[in-house]
Amino acid sequence: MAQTLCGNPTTFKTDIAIIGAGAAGLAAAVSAYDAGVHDIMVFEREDAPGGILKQCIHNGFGLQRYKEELSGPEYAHREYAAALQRGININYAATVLSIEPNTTLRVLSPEFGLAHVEAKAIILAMGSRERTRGALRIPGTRPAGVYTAGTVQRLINLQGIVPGKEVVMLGSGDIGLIVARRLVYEGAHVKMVLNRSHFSGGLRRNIVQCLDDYGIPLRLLQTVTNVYGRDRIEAVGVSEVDKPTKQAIPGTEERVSCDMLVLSVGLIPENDLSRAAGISLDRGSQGAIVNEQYQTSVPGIFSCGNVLHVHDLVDFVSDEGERAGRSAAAYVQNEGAPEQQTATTRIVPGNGVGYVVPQLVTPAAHDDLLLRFRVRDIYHKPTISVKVDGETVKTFKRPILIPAEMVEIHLNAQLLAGHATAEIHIEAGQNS
Amino acid sequence: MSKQEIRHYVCVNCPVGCDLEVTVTDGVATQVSGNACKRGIAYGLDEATDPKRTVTSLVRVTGREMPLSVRTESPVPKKLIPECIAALREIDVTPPINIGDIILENICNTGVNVIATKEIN
Amino acid sequence: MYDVVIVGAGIAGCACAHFLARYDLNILVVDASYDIATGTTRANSGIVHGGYDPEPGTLKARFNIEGSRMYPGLARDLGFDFRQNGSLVVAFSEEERPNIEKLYARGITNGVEGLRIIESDELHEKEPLLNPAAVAALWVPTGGIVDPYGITLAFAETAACNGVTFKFDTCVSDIRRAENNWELIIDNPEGTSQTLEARIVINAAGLNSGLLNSYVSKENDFKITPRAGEYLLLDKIWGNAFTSTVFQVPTAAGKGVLVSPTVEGNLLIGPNAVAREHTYETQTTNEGLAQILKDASKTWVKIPAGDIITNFAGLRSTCVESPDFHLGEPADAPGFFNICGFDSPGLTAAPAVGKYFAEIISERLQAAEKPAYIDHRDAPRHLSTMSDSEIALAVAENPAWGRVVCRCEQVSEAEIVEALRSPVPARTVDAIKWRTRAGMGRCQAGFCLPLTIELIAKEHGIELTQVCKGSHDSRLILGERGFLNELPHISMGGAC
Repeated sequence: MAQTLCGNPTTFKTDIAIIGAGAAGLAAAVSAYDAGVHDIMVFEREDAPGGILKQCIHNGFGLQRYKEELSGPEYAHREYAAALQRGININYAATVLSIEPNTTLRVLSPEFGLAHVEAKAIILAMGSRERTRGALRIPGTRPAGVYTAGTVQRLINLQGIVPGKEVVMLGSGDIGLIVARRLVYEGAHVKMVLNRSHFSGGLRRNIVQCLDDYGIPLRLLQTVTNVYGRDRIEAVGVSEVDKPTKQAIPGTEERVSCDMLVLSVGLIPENDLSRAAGISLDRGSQGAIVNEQYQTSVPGIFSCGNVLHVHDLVDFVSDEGERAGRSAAAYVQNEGAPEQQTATTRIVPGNGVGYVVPQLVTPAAHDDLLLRFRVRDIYHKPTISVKVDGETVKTFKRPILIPAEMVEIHLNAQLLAGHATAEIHIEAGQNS
Repeated sequence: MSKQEIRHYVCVNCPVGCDLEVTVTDGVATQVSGNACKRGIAYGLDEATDPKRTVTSLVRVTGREMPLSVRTESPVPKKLIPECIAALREIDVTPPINIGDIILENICNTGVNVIATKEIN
Repeated sequence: MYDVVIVGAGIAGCACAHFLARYDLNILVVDASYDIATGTTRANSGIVHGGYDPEPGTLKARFNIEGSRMYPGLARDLGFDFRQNGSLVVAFSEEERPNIEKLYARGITNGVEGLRIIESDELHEKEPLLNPAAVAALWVPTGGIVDPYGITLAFAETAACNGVTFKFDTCVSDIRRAENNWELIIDNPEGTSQTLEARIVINAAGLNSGLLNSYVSKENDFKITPRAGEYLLLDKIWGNAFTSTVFQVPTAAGKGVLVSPTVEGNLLIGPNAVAREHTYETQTTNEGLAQILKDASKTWVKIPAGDIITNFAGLRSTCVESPDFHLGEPADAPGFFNICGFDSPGLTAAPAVGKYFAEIISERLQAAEKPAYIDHRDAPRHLSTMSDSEIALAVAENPAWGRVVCRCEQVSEAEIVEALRSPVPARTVDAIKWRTRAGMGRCQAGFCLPLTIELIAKEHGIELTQVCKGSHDSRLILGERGFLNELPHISMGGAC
């Protein structure tokens, strides 16, 4: 690659530019390649491929995709090997600074300096970030020792250093649960895991194998309402939460000493670049609004993986990456020609549904339509119903739906033809 | 006279999370109830008799800050996890290392090998 | 023996250091903390006040006006972030109108330029998100916003380049008269102590300035009360929601809270005023933050609370008995210069006070001006504000400019390394944050903290486990893997 030695930005031209070489980006690159588009550039801000999988050294990855149980680094390695085998161009330490008009990226790297990447299509695969203390508005002092779970995981697994030894965790998302066990393995004492709502955001298997196995108490309907300590954190205030209002109950605060507070309170799709580029976002998923091609509101820009909506299984991230990769390839091969104008249907989250991806569907074009969504509460033996104009056109039965687990349904899109909107509703079963 | 006790587990095979009651007679798990599907029976019997877990952890790499991630090739008895962790803390490895390299053979006499899950050049 | 020892490396102490550095004097700045501007200077509203508020004839009025006039030139010469965005003091009903008229008259007396009362139409055109109920406002075109840390760093760095020495983690535990000089007893962090001698001492110790004064003077016995102000900071997507600094008109019900853009591009809401017992009590409270949100909704009816990225509190060093600044020498301690009770508008007034003190002290010590005095500092460069060709050139010269460490604020490795090698070097994660903004964005250092720790350790030649957030007791990492011996305790489960 040409090295810039003057004060001029470099220009690259490529068919497909992919932002991020994590699970979504790698799968998108490979599938676009296999669909016949070989001129691909992947931009990865870190020094190695794999994204968050690099630090997820626990097992449980790949059961769907590889029919075996792998650790995160092993899963990432397989995805990377597929890209390597195809000679796909991955640029490391390359940060996309902005998405410009005409599917152009401004990319910065120590190797090529500042580059304008003129692409025919762009795939967003930037992943997600963690919610922080500030977003939760936890009051108190601001000492050292308050970390998000992913940061703790990185410090231990990739840097070999242990940030704390007497731990309280707030939130029981899957990363948090995995990190609690990791801390125990490192010799730390995880005193308790607090969870504001009456159900955990983590998977049952992780609660059993990361908390129960080690006798770590999961305290539901409790939260952190204060942080104490001048230099390093010394204690947190733990309060009970009123279930209906979800607010901490004044007067219930108990002081729990600790030298670290770990937050595992959710992931947020990292759409700063998308927002700045004027891509329409969905307030429910916090990702881009896409059609069934995973194309965003800006023609030629596609989105997949955790930047589109937060997944619980990497296998589905890879699947979504493949779908976006194939769509981007088709877009490039059609030279960006807009598809024939056909009516679209908007998929709207109804009762009990947080969001649905994709949000827009072209019924005429597809028989098999995959919808992914999350529910807001726990439902036993529920019915998922698809309604158009108040009329149910399709129902699905499930034994259980929980917020921690993404739901998938396959639908014949023709059912939606001619309707401006379709709603997905959850109806509670008799046992709820 | 045989001694019977009832033990409680939460099945982790799916999100339903059935509350299982396992009857243990003279130390042998004999019966499972509360399960909604047949996967629950096997899970309940295993948990009451000899629960197993895959252990994933880290070992030191000579001359490097970044540790090597490892896992047991198959699940090992849950009660041996502390011993396994202790054994892994004693290990230093030297690069290069490939994914799947055996880092520790037959950990704690379980018959299970510990393998590398990351490549280090 | 030093000519001048300045106690306190906040805005007041560093302003004095900057202006005194022009003279051929041996100057030392000591601070009990780990960096400049860790006390009252750091966490406040960052407002350069027009000067309509202080009572005419007070020191606050005089130095507010003088300081406010110095800011544009200083920002240009010393390269720190300052924007004269103008302030509004809003009346939300006709009943509140007399209060802005009173402030207008006071401002005219104090000599504030460009004051005007603007009516509803102009006001809402200026600030479309302002509560529609607002009827009129006092418009203060000379009002501005500044990064308080930025100006303090600019003063400190120019002072250091001109030969001023800075010593941190250095606590003054007593001051005694020694013939015509002063003896300062210094406690070092290692537990040792030493004595320094100085001809002149400047007491710029902020919250501890009352205590320091009590070592030398019986004349003034003023007590400095820490008064906390809590704040909420909104995501940059709201950085342009308001262009001016919007104050609520003070009423019998209270002073109200402000809503203001910051020079960094965020939106700031706050503060309240809560008395605190200790000088380190910078905690925030649920009640305080909730009250601020409620009060601020008078200005901005629909505050997007979901986009709050952080909250913090700062302390003001208020002298409750006599609320004016206390500047200069107590009669019983000549050569000991107080800057006490330096609460609002202290930030605005500091440059003028520093200049004034430098003139008096240089004359007292009969110091000559230095022949080679550096009076200019290039603004630190930031990736986020550089043009494409500037970035390309910078990377060609130093590839570290091409490596982004903080993705939210787009801070490069080169910026962090520059801060670590500054004439007044950053030594901690917080110091890096204040200087480069790394870790100040949406993810609040989740991604960049591990990288910042590595850069600090490498540049300063220390272990990762020695890197601190701020003070030397705020270690971020408690040990390397293997420092804990405990083994997991297994629960076999199955219990009822």
